Amino acid sequence: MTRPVTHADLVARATGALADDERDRVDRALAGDPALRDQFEAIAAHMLLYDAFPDAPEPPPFEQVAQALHGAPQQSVSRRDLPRAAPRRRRAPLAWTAAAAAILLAAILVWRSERDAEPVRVEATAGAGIEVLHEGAPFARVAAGETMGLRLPSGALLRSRKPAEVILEGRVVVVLDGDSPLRVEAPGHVRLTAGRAHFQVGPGPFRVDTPYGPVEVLGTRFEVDLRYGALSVHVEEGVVMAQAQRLETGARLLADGSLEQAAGPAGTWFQEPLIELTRVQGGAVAPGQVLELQVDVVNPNHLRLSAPGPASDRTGLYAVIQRLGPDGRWQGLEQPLALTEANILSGESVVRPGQPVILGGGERRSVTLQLLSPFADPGTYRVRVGYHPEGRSPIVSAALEIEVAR
Amino acid sequence: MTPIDEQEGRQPAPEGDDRRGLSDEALMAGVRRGERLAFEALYSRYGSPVMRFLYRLSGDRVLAEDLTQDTFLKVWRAAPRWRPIGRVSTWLFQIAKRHWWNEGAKRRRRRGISLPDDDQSARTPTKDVGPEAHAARADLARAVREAVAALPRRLRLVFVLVRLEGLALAEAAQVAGIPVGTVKSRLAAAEKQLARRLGPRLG
Repeated sequence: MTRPVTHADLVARATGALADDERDRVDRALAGDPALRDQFEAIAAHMLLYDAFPDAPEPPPFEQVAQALHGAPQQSVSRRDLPRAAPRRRRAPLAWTAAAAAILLAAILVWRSERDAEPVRVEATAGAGIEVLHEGAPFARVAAGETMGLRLPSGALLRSRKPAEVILEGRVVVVLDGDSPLRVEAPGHVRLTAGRAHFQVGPGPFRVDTPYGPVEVLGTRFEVDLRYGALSVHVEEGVVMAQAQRLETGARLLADGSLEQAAGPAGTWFQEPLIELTRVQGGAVAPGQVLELQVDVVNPNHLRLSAPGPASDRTGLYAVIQRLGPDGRWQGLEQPLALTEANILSGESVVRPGQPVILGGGERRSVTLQLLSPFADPGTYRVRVGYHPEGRSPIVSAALEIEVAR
Repeated sequence: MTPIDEQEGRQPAPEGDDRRGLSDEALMAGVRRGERLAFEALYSRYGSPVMRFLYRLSGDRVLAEDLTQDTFLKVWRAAPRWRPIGRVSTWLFQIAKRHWWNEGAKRRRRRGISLPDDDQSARTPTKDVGPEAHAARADLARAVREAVAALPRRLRLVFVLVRLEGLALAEAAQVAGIPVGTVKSRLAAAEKQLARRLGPRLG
């Protein structure tokens, strides 16, 4: 039996990392599945941009900027420097700054080498606000929905009151459950002291220390759960070592020490998000009238519902509008309608490319949609709202029939 | 007192004060009062994003560093008259964009268009990728950078804001100072040009 194509397979295909026979298997699946092909193209485009625009170099040290401030008293600006104003034509004292920077170079290098001892780069793409503490004191804070690059010293502690996501070293995606502090020990090495966290680990060694022993990673996607007074590990993909046991895809090491093997495709325990669809205002709809719908999304687990980045418009919530044809069959009215800022009337955006939204277990998110003039002619229409999870096929979860009167 | 505080005759922040946990607005309020620690915390928070934005726009590391510094100097000067009427990050990107627009163009005319360094290109994690495949991907990455660098500035700005920085359309419109509809049309135009230029490479 042919193994189903996973998200990891598509990523590997896009990066050219598959052996010939594996590549043939993926190509055959792509040829026969337009939705999978769309997904693959989105991944490939994302990877292309990722390759083409590597991380930028570090900005100048703050001391260099601070030195330049000597000749920059405040209040000496025109209105044009204020928000929404046109820029003021002026040269900053760069020559002076360059001289100062040269004088201070040695001191800055020493300062930076001390500051950057064992740095760990973190991109915190927060579903909720994330606090970063170092030696018990606040070090940084990332507000909900903002992305921030940080260079963390060894021992920095990440914590969030609600589920949130951070990316360590550009290769480890961590979804931290609420009240699950994660301590960054060193590159490739973290410590989870309580709660629960989900890890998706790119190539390279990675280790999660817990009070109940370490979990060593061999390149995988897995969850570590400490909520029940013991270590529980669920391996979604790959292989990890925990409690002296080798856990492979689909394995779940339970808190009582027993081992289960998951059923289902690719050994995943993923539970689909639940979607409810209701009309904001009842009654008949006239042709051309704008229809308002409320979509409620409930995430039964804490896996992320997200658009992973640029060119990912095909991930997330979407709506399909169909019309009942004369032959009694539903006909597609248009391409799936991405539910984005353009047609969300109120409530938070569920999906914003590059800014994942994290919903906690059982957490609910409501969005009111304004479907712009999809009902130009009288007839019976059906609006179907679905969710396109990252790396999986679209799920249609809710549908609503609407009569448009003449 | 810090040199800035001495020069401006202001009181320094209390010893051991750490403002990095404050909100953007609270930090800006501190910067407005002339507090160096607040300004340092703001720089710590936004120095890298502003640098990355300017680097992606200009493709020139030195220019991006200069413009980042100029941006924060401007923030320091403008702070006393800053009012919390929008997101601080949007304001910073607006200032950065204006610097790039005004001075980046001038420098680029002098130096010609440059591209981001190649040292980290084709960095997508792979396993067992042979040197030929890696070289091909590096070539493709360079072609993409060249195609983006060749976009007209108004299109490149929108493409960088939305596709590379991941800003929402409304926020990109604020930074660019144009309506959301114009952002959409410029984004479409940018992607059309990129597709035309890269089409033969992508097969």
